[in-house]
Amino acid sequence: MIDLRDFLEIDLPALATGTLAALACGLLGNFLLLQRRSLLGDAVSHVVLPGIVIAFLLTGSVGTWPMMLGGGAAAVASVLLIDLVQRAARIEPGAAMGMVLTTLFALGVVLLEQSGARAVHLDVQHALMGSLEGIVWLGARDASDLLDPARLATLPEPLLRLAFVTVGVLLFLLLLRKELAIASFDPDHARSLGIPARGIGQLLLLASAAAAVASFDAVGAILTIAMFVCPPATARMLTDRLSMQIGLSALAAVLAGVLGYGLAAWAPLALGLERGLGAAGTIAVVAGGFLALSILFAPRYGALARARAGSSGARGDVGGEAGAGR
Amino acid sequence: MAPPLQPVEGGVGLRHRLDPERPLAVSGLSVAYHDRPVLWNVDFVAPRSGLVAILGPNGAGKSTFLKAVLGLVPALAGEIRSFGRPLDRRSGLVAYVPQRSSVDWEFPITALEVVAMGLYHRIGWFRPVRRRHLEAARAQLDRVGLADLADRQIGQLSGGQQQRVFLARALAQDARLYLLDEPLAGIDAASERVVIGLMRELAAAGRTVIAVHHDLESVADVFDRAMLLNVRRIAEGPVAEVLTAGNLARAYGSAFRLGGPVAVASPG
Repeated sequence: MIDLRDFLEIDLPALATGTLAALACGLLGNFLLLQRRSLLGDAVSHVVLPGIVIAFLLTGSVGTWPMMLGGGAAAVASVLLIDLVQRAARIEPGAAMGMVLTTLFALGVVLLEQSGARAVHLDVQHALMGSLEGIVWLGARDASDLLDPARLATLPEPLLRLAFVTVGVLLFLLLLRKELAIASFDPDHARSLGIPARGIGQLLLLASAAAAVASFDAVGAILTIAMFVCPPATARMLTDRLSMQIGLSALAAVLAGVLGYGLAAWAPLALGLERGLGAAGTIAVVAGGFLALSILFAPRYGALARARAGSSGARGDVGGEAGAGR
Repeated sequence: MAPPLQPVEGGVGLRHRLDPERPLAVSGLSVAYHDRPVLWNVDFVAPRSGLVAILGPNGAGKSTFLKAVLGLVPALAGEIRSFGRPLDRRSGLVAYVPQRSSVDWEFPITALEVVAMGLYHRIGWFRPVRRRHLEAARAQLDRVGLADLADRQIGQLSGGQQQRVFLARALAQDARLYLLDEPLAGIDAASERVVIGLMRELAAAGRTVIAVHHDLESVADVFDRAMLLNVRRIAEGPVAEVLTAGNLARAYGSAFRLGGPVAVASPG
């Protein structure tokens, strides 16, 4: 029997935070995937760590604005650095990204270990995997709290942060849907109409950085990439319509959040496991499971359907295009 | 030979009026990738209407010429004027059809939605594509004979059908000047007839169509004029005057074997 107060205090904030992280990143991931720039989502979610740590060292705070500005600045710096490395060393984009993101992430870890940031719940474990379980709604009493704005304002900061970012992401996609589509499908044609495809790509990147910063508390730097890639890649296997893909990716993200959290919260008890499960990890595993299922069983592009139809009409490996930078 | 470049008037009163006589005037255009020149000091004036082929060997800078005209690749030097003004992409006066190989045909989008993209500059920022835009797009798709395939994902169309979708997208833009990159490359005979027919229709309606073309044998059948490029401009003018043995040898190298083109060449 689940106690309502326990649910409101412990389960709901963590569940909502994990789900919104998957949703915000998954929605943006659609366009990263279509532009074959998913690895850039990975780079961004890694480099927000040094950004957040440096912002903390400068301001002594892990509040929303220092985190957002630090993470955003680090994302911009990393993109410039990736471009620079790519030109100067004349190597492929994937290698440049891999180099920059690991180096900057390592820098973040070093700074984190040497600084006093440990004291304020920023530690390496947290940075890697997030700490959904640490997100609690202190003082939640009953269901009426959910309708009381004054009580809702006392929701934990990571959850509020993610809620705002998710609304921002939805607005961004709603307003710029056709610009994002044309810039992703045919950037040269977009530019020939005076639509700045590169600028739109950079906006997408900044939005991804904001989503990565906001998801940092929930799922950490490592698992964020699962949120960016798995829901859209799952949806990509199931449809040939962009709007349907975006809708299905949102559905996959929400289901992964809810089922993943449920698995972490109740499976150890139900199955008598000796150790608890980290919810961030189970959400990523469920999201990956959805992708695996869709790769196998998607009605048209799934491996089984294609095997049945012979090799005719086969198309590219949608799930594995993360590294194919443009 | 090429008509001499006329000085472009910059008179105050004329600056904001379109000059229909000069859809495109390029002077001294040079483009380089890294240290390698791709185009060098190219002059070109497009006729008021008609079909112009851009010819030349692989790597001659044909596609780059179109991209540099549109400002899609940076030019080292040169001036581009369109209808008497610096080319403004947002005006929608110039429609561009990139090479078919330049886009991801697995993109989750239908033929109709691709054609509607030709209307995006007119729909404006932040505004959604509405039913009337899709109807306008459907009319253009009908013009290229693909109304039945409007809801197909574009990757499921043949190469020729994809090219027709691209052309319908340019038609939807209702531009004055059309820049087409290899519109006839690798397409079936039926699509070729449709594309050539529409290019002629555009020319007859007073539009200028400039197309990168690679098949020297068919140039004279389709185009009125041609520019022969190999980094530099080799020749420009009526097709018969451009495709001379001497010009072809200069463009393709002296080892170039004169086959079909000789038939259309009229030396002297």
